[in-house]
This record gives sequence, C-alpha cells and structure tokens, in this order.
Amino acid sequence: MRRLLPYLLVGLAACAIGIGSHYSDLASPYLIQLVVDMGIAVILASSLNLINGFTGQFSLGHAGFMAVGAYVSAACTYYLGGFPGTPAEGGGVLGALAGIGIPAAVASPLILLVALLMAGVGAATAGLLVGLPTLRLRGDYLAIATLGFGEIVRVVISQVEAVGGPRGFTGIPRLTSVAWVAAWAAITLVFLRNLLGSSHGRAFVSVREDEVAAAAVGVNTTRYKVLAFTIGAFFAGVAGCLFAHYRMTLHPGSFTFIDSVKIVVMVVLGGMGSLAGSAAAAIILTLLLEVLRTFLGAVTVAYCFAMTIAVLPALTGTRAARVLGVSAVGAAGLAALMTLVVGEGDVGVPWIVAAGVLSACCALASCWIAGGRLRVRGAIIALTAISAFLLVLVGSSLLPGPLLAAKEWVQGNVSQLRLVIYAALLVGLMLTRPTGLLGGQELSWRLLRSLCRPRRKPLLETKGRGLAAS
Amino acid sequence: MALLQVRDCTLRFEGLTAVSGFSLSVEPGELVGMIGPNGAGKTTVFNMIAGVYRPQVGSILFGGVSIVGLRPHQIASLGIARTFQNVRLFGALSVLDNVRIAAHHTARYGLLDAALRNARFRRQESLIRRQALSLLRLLGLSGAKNQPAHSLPYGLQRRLEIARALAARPRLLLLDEPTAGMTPVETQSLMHLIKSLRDDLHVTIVLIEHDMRVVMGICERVIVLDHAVQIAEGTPAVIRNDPAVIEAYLGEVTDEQQ
Amino acid sequence: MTSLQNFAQLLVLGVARGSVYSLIALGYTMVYGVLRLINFAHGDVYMVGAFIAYFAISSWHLPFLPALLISMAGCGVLGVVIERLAYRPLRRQPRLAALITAIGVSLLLEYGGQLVFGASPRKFPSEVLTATSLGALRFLSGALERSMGLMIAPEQLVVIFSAVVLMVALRLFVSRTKVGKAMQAVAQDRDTASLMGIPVDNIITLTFFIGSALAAAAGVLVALQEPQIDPIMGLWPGVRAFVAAVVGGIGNIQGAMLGGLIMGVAEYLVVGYISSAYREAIAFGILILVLLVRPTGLTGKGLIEKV
Repeated sequence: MRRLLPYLLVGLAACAIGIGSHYSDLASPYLIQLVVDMGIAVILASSLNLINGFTGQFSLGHAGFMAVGAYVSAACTYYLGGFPGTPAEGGGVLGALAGIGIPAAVASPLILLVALLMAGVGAATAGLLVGLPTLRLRGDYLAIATLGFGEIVRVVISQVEAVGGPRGFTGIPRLTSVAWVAAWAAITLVFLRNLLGSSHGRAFVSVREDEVAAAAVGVNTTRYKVLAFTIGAFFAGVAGCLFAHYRMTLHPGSFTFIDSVKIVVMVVLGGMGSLAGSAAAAIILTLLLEVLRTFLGAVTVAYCFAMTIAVLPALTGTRAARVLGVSAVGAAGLAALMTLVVGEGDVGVPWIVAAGVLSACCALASCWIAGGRLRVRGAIIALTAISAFLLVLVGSSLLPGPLLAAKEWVQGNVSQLRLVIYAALLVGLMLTRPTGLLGGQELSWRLLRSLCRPRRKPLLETKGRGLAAS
Repeated sequence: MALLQVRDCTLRFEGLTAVSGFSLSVEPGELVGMIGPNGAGKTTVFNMIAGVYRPQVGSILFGGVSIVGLRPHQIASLGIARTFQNVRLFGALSVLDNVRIAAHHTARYGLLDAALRNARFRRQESLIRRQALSLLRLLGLSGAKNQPAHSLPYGLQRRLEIARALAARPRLLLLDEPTAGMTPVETQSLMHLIKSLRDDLHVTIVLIEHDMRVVMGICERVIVLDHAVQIAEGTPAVIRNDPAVIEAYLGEVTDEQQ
Repeated sequence: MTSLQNFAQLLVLGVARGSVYSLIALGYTMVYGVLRLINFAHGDVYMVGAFIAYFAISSWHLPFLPALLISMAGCGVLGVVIERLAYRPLRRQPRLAALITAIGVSLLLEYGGQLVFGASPRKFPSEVLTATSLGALRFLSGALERSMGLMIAPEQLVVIFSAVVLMVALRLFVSRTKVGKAMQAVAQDRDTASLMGIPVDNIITLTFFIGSALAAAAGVLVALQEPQIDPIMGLWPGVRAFVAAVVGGIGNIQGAMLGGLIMGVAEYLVVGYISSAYREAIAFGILILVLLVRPTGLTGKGLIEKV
C-alpha cells in the first residue's frame, strides 16, 4: 500500500490525459502542444535525474542525447517510412505493410514504436560513448566534458545535409499524440521508480554518496556510472523522437547547451534525487513559460508569487494555518493556469478574479490563524497584492497616469519580460528553497503524513530570523 | 591453509615508501591486531589488501587465490570487507539501506527484474531485507533503521559501518580503528561485540587499534608496525614486553592511558 | 603569402582572441578558486562591460582609456553586488543551488539587457582608438606588415598588449602582495583561512571585483575588434572561456591564462586549416582530449584522495 502512491498518481494522470486526448479535437492545438511539451519535459527531467541526482554525475549534455534520438528516428521515418510528403512516399515500410493488408492507421503507431526504440538505443549508445571515457572525471570537469559532447553532437548534425544541415530538417511525419507522450512519461517514471527502489537503485546512490565506500562493499562503480548514462540517455532519446514527430521539423539550434541547462534547472529545482520533484518541476517550469506569455498570465503569476510570500511564515504554524496557506497558493496558481485555458475576455477574467479573491481570503485567514506579527505582515502583503491584482485586471480606468503607462508598457513587452520574470523567479526560488521542491525527498505516504503533522521545525529555512517556532 | 597470506609487500608512493617488505599470514577464525604509531603504514596495509592500492612488490593470496591487481569491488565480492579510519557511510541513505547496499553483490536479479518487480525480485528483496534487519538487531541499530545515516551519533555510525561490512558476507573482516573516538563504555561493548562476531559468525578479523585495552583484551595475535616496517609479532603478552615495541610505541601510549 | 606567414598570421590572431578568453577565464577561475562556484553570470558581466564603455564613449564622449577604466570599475561593482545578493546567501547550501542561481542571474542580465537596450546589435565606436595618440601602434602595425607580412590591426595590438599588462599585474598582485596571498589562502581552505584572521568575506568580494573588472576589460577589447555589441554577446565567449579555464586547470591562474591562449589559437588554426563550420566542435574536442589525458586540467593537481 505504501508504495502504491506514486503508481496511483501516475495512473491518474495518465488516465486524465488519455481521456483528455480523446477529446483533443476540442482543445486548441496550442494547448495540445503544451501538454506534449510537458510530457517530454517530464521524460527529460526524470532521465537526467538518474544521472545527476541519483548517481551524482554532473552531466550538462542531455540535450545532445535528445538530439541523437530525435535525428536518428526522424531520419528513419523520413527516408524509410513511406509517409506522405517524404521521399519514400507510397513505398517504404508503410507501403510494404499495406501490401500485406495492414492499414496505415495500424502501421503508423507500430512505426512510431520502432522509431522510439531506435531513438532510445541510438541515444543509449551515445550515452555509453560518453560514460566510458569520462569515468575518471569528477564534478565540474565531467560537467564540461559532457557539455562538450553535447556541442560536438550539435555541430556534427548541423553539417549532415541528409538531415537538413544548419537550415533544419522538415517534413517529418506527425506520429506523436498526447496519448503517446503520456504513456511514455508514465513508462519512464515507473521504470525509474522501480529501478531506484531496488538494489540497483541503492547502488546508484552509493556511487553518488561515496565511491570508495561503494567499491569496498562490492558495488562496481564503473558499471553503475556507465549504466546511469546509458539508461538516462535512452529515455532522452525517446523524448527526442517524440519531440521530432510532433513538431515535424528539427533544428540543431534546439539542442544547445542552453537546452541542457534548462533540463538541469528542472532537476535541481525539483530536488536532486526526487523523481516526483523533478517531474513536478518539469511540468511547472514548462507551464510557467507559457503562462507568462500573456499580460494576464504575467500578472497572475506575480500574484501567485505574492501570495506565496504572504503565507510563507504561516506555513510553520498550526495545521489549519498550513492548510489555508497551501490553499491560498493553490488558488492563485489555479488562477494563473486558467489564463492559459480561459484567457482574456469577458468570460475568462471574472473566473480568474474569483480565484484570485478566493486565494486572498485563504491567505488572510491563514495569516490570521498563525497569529502574532505574521498576522499583520502577511495580511498587509496579501491585501496589497489583491488590490493591485484587481486594479490592474478590472479597474484599469482607476489607475493613475504613470501606472497606466507602466501597464501598457508591460503589455507591450510581455514576451521579453517573460524571460526576465522567469530568470528572477529562478533566482528567488533557489534563494528561498535551495534543496528543491520536495527537499530531495521522494514522494511517499510518509512525506505527505509528515506535512500534515504539527511541526516543530520550520517547513522552510528562515535563517534564524527569530520566528518563534519551538 | 591460511585464509590470507601477504608476502613481502612493498608499496611506494612518489618518493615515499609507505610499506616495506610486509608479510602477514592469517588463519581462518583468528582475531589479529595491528598496532603502531600514526603513519606507520597500518591503514596502507588494509588498503593494499582491499585493492585500493597495488603493491609494487610482493603477493597477496586470499584463500589461495592472488588478489593483487583486482579492483576493490571484486575483492569485496571474494569475501573481504573493511571499515574505514574516518567513517565513510552513505550519509543520505537510511541506516537500513546502508546495510542492504552491501548485500548488492549477492543479489540475484537484474535490471529488468527490478523494473518489472517480478517474483524473483520480490523474493530476493525480502531475503536481503530480512538479513539486513537481523544484522541491525545484532548491532543494536534496529530502532534507527529508517533514519538517514548522517543523523546518527558517532558511536552508532561506527557500528553501522561494521553492520554494513558484515552484510557483504565476508570471510575476512578488516576493521580500521573501530573504537576511535569512543567513550570507555562504548569501547567495552564494542570489544565484546567484535569478539562475538568472530565466535558466533565465524568471521576472521584483523583490526587496527590504538586503544591497548582492546588489543590486549581480544586479540590473539598482535603485529606491530613502525615506519613502514614490521618490527614485532606475537601474543599480546609477548608484545607488551618487547623492547623494540616499547621503544617505538607502547611506552608513550601507557603514559596516555594513565 | 607563404604557408609560414599564413601560420604565423593565424597564430597571432589566435593569440589575440586567446588573450581575451584568458581575461574572462581568469574571472571564472578566481571565483571558482574561492567559492567552488561556476559563475555563469560572468560572461554577461563581460557584455555589460562592453555596453558601459559604449555609452561612456558615445554618450559622454570620453576617450578610450577613461572609458575602459569606468567600465572595469562599474563591472567590478556589478560583480560585487551579484555576489552579495545571489551567491552569499547560498554559501552553505549544496553547490548546485548556487549554480542554478548563477544561471538565473545570467538570464536576468541577458534578457534584462534585451529589454533595456533592445535586442538589435549596436556598433561600438572603435574609431575612438585612432582619435587617441596611438600613432605608435599604427606604426608598429605597419612595420610588422612590411617586415613579416603579418596583417595585424592596431586594435588587435591593443588587445594583446592590454591583456598582457593586466595578466602580469594580476600575477604580481596574487603572488607578491599580502592581499593576494590571502586570496590564495581562502582558495585553499576557507575555514582555516578565516581562523587565521583573514577576512574571508572581504577577500571574496575583492575576488569578484577583480574578476568582473577583467571581464569588463575583455568585453571592451573585443568590442574594439568586432564592433557589434548586443545583450547576448557574452554567452558563447563565456562558455568558451569557462572551458578554457577548466582545460588549464580550474582554480589555477596560470592555468586560465594557458587555457585561454590554447582555446584562441586552436580556434584560429582550425578555421584556417580545416573548416570554420567545425570550429566549435574541434574546440570542445580538444577539451575532451585534454581531460582524458589529464583529468584535472593541464596544470591541475591530481585529486589524490586519502582513503
């Protein structure tokens, strides 16, 4: 029963997405792309977590493995698949299968499956090639060796004309769907979870903790380091294949070291050594960048942040204060999410405002219950935030001149601002919660129970600024 | 046949000879002690036996088989386990996991079995878990089994290291200063524990120690090293009176003990 | 041009480029030495340096040398501010937390710069050099061309010369002065250094100041050679300089100088003799080869772990 929780969550999520994808003709292509991107991010973050988080090997080249998978599989489906719009149109594997009576509707998923496995194996081979020579490298040296590998892959790919060279590879058939991505995200998580909960998982962690001691108890550290790279690369390759067969075009510039860094950020933010954490961080970060694209979204993200700050002190208090505090943050986050789905306009904004007001009420209640100085401080922040929120969203005409001008400037520059906000949030998050979302702990019943129990130590480090938590 | 035979081993680092012409023969079931001033080369001998360093000269036979040149994890699988001078636990892992990891090389399931969580995996895992729990009970660590190893008090950490070494099912156990930093009470109880490990579990033990009560108390045979060279060997009573040993080592220690 | 001249030409260009990498790499290596942190934001400090000088020259009409000095001072302050706000709170936290924060600061500088300055490149007024009395350099440049057939622009001579001066000054500072030795002490063992009475926080602040100032100098010198500046110009030179620092042995000042020169020369030799397309790949390839042979860099001491 104890170990069922993660399976339950993954199963629920997969079901939800599966059902959702069934009705995906109703959803906008934008939303579908977002869900696909989130799934791919989950696969990438989890597989990197195996290498960086659990085995302690500092790899900065994950985008390189993804690129290998993407290009290998794309080249195969493009030249051999027989899909419309490709050189092999009419023939190829599709044609051959049609010849023995298998229709394209059945053959395409099969081809994707084969392509995925090829992508995985190709990337895993690359992982092997990276893992073996770099065995003697430690820490930062390993980081840039892997960075170098990623860049070499990118440069080499961009010189291969058969896959489009520097201009990019177009015409890849769209074979990926939400269901495929969800399924593979689930497979990745379950596989890694099972692996890490076994003796092999303990072996990986022992390599991270102390290589000398690990060898002394019989763990072949070489084998496990290389294995981590190989398995991690396999799933990165799978992610690459899914990516290629959704976007339908590939460009070497999508697989730079910056992209590797983005995945590292997901792993660190989620907590190294926590699969649930890195998956959550992958989803949140992908969503965040999308939500920030609109002015509405940016405002509600800022609001969410303000609510979090307001209830931070209350999270160390009584159970009621904590529950209300988490609800406040949740409601604000929901409002931000709704800007994606419901968006601007007369229908959307009232719902978002409603969620915002609910959030503010929970925050105020939480701070009130928490008592003492927190009551005042948190309440002030929450009230300021809700007033600003309402003014900007609903009562623009009430804003004085300069503020109105500021609002218009922000509305005009949202896409640039989005990245600045993202960066600022990154810094802020690391400064306040450096061990990651779940603090490096894996999601489990025990963790959830401990959150609900009255605590003696603060939930978040406050650096001894004298909160009366005893 | 001797369980461990070290013959004439010499280990040199650039310019420094750490161990010179060292020989040691350990019969199965013995409890041998190694003493000597700091820097004499005792831990280096352990490191040579465990495969961390490779002697330039000499041979090491374990159960009749040469182990020079083998990698540490291979030597561990053959049946030699060790603890470290400075405790080297897997801090983030739980106490139970620290012990279970040592059973890894005995685990009979592969990656796929683990991924699929099949019957073989479940059987092996429950076996490993049972064995680990019984070891924790033996060493008095059951209560802490789910705590992260780094949160244990020092004395318990040392015990955990021994439990972990035992979980690797060794025939030979090398203990490097097991009672370092312990109070007299802790030392006494650990002393008896080590003796019972040899008596009940039939593990051959070689230990490095500075605490003479332990050496005199439980070791049947004592080897003395000084400046990379073996200067004496014999029963504790003989060693105590050996003039070379007294001059090099024992004299100073006796003053401290008072 | 004979093949020897060709080679020499590439060599000199490589040295000019390499000395810029060295200047940036020095900042990386010094910060790494005292904090064990890869300061991702360093490359963007280089960019800010170029921009400060740009504004100093075009808006305030300052001559070259004062603009350079203002730029160095300004970026020194920027580096100190970044350290104080973003890195100091995380000193006792796992290293990766500080790393991610560094990435965040880097992104802030890049995208913030795009927001404030606009993403389109501006032309750096490199003609400011000819306005100053650098006739000597033009003479030298001409002389080199006539005698050895080497075409080295006066700007490149300035780059090499300034870089050498700065590096020598740094070397002397670190090895001869009391403060410099304090820096070495902090790099070796921070806690013991503080026990010996060395004001560790101040030393770290100073390290950031000097490192950032050097990066600013690099930015200005590069802007002289390649007059396009834009807010993202610091990204790739930063990565390459970091690689150079590691190849040379990170934490080691001579290593950074050596690594930077090797990177620059290798780049130009590859472009000249093989192909410009594979330039980056070869640079990283060299890096990996060096690390395979010497896992702690060219000058790095092997990590001998006491078991």
